Amino acid sequence: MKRTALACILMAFSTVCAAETLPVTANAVFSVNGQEFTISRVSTLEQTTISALIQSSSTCKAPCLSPMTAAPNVPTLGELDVIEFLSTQVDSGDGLLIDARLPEDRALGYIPASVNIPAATLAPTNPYRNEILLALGAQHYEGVFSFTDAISLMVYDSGPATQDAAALIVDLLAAGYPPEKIGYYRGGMQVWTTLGLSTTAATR
Amino acid sequence: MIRATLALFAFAVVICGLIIFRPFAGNDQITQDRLDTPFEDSADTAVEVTRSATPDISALAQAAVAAAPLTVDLGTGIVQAPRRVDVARPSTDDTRLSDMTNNVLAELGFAGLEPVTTNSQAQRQSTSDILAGIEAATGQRSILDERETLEAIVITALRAGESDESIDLIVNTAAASGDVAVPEILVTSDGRVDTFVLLNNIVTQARIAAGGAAPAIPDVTPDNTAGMEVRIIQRATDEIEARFYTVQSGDSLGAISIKFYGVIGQYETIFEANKGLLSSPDRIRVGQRLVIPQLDA
Repeated sequence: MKRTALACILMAFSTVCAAETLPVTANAVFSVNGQEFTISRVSTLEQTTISALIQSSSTCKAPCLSPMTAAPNVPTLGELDVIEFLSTQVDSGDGLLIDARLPEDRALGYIPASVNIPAATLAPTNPYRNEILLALGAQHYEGVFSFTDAISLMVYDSGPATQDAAALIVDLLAAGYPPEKIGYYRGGMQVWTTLGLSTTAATR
Repeated sequence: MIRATLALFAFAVVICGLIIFRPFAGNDQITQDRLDTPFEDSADTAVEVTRSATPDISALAQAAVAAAPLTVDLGTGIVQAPRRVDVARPSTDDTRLSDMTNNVLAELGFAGLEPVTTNSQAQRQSTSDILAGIEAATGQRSILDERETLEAIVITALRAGESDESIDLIVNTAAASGDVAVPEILVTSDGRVDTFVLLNNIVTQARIAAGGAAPAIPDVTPDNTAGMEVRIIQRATDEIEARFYTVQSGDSLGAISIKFYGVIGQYETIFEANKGLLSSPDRIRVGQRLVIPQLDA
């Protein structure tokens, strides 16, 4: 009992410490698979690029808004959480930042070190869905998936006015992906670029 | 204090004994329900439920058959519940048959035809892009298995000069094993792959590519087509002829499209008109009554 209480206090303390050391204004530097990324707040995107970035969605034909919570037990997170996720879990290879937009929308710009998995590709109708799940660390055994070794995911899309990320999360959960391994960055490209955070443009 | 506790304990024991042994329960069988409807003494239909083997299993089975039209295996006595007969269907993808046929003809060296990217190939390409992206981030190598395609099977069979029957056998064996996905409109009501439509469409598209005319819309009447009906529907200003077709065994949506419109391309017209009945073009079942719209001239 005492030990549990002590652990709780320690955890709370470390959370507070982590919150204070988060890069609110300083640059976040991390490396993914040997490549170094820096996220700063001095990104200078042109306004036209920003408006192009936020006006794209494959799941919403008509104007729509995404709900605050994508699915039960999937936390909705903010920019600091994304940066922390990048510099801890993605840095150590235990996590992936997923871009749920279509490749042509993503070509305009994306969050550094993110990986593109368009929402439609995880729909149960895609015959290649299982291959993608396997690449995310799921184990396949006689038609049943085990997600114990699956990597943690943080999903984003164009922004709160689109629903690609929410659709992707719903499909992941339907496939059996555990909700505690999924995070939802609702702000997406819209909030990310508005805050002047770094983006990467496709090198095509 | 101790006396009071003992007294309470004894009282509890007596109550428990009364609950367990029920000395005053008697044989008061319920002969009426609360709505004063007397229970019928239905000794002749009553069936005792035990877990021991019933000696007269066939009588039980007959009673069950009399109650509901169930299928009974008299050998084992297993009674099967009535359910919608649904057959195993081959796996499908959303590749268009016309795209696939085009690629088959192009591969066979037909002049004037360029291969197009089918939906299945596009999906495969996007998947390999995604896997490459994940691999770049995690460093874990993932392999995208080569899959057999219907296109490749048909090309090989046509090159080898196989007969229609043997192509039917080859394609259906591959589809039944689940290794190959087929276009939805080729799935028949009994869960096979309609190779007649497949081959017929190859011939049709080859003829059109060679400069021939598209097949004319056949003249279909209830006299020459089994399962077809025509109803005259009176409307305020005019009257229209509504056509219906009851799905026969072995029909695919592609076959019905060829039957009524001469080409597979009109399957969407049929599908759109029957969306309430068909959840997807491959979920076609024997006995479904489909509306067959007239094409606008």
